[in-house]
Amino acid sequence: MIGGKDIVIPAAATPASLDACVRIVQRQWPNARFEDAETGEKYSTYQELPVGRIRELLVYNSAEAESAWDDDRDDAPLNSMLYFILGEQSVTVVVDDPDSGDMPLILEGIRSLMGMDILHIPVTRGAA
Amino acid sequence: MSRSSESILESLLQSSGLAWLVDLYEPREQALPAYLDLLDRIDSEYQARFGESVSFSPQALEAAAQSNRHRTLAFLQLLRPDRTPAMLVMVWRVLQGARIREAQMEYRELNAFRLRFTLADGERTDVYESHNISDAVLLRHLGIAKVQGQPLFDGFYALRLAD
Repeated sequence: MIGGKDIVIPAAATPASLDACVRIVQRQWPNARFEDAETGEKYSTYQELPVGRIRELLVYNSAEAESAWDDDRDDAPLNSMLYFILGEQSVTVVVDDPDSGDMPLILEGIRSLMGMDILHIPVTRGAA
Repeated sequence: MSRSSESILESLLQSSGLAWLVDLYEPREQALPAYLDLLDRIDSEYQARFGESVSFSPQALEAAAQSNRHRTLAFLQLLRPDRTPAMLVMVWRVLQGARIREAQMEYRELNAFRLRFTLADGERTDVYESHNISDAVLLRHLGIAKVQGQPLFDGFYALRLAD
């Protein structure tokens, strides 16, 4: 896969958590492309992404990056792909270099959203 | 709407932990027609704003739930017959990826209420406004974060229902 660094972020680890991760990434990568890492199925937009059925997700920052990674080319730019793994109580983000480019911003946003009350605090049914 | 739509909606609400929406409605037998009417009004609002139809029928919501149950659940949790259709269109747009550019709320006790959202989706910007305080409840479903110390509303999320 990618020879990067694993960033393990404590999380509710639900589809909503993975969805929040994708939304944050897409703010920085508006032309992001997606791939179910388990099935290889690809999605070109956030709208068509069946987040609720995905446990491992690849996000490319552009169609060009996707093509480069698909072809296993050496010219795939640094930090042009993120690999998300939804665990039992965490989200793992695999990234080339967490300290360069827009990656610190992306990771900060993910950490912030993973701590949202709404992803963690259960409510009784009458309050929904 | 057909009887099958009522049946599908009831099933969808039950499987989403929202059967009580029907049980507590007065009179109970009018609950599903009232919710179907709301879905029709959301559909009309969407059509009026975007010139295209996105079905909010129970069948369409059931299909959407197959891929993204958490998004559909967030939407269903916000449905009430007294909600403003435009604000539910706004929620749907955000669930589909639109960004919240601006939000404003004004409140004066027993006098006035205003909730206003500006969304951006690509180059397009849309404004949604309500003077109905019932719509204030959608604020508790907002994704809330800080990035570089700055405020961020991003997404709408379903409340987690306790077992």
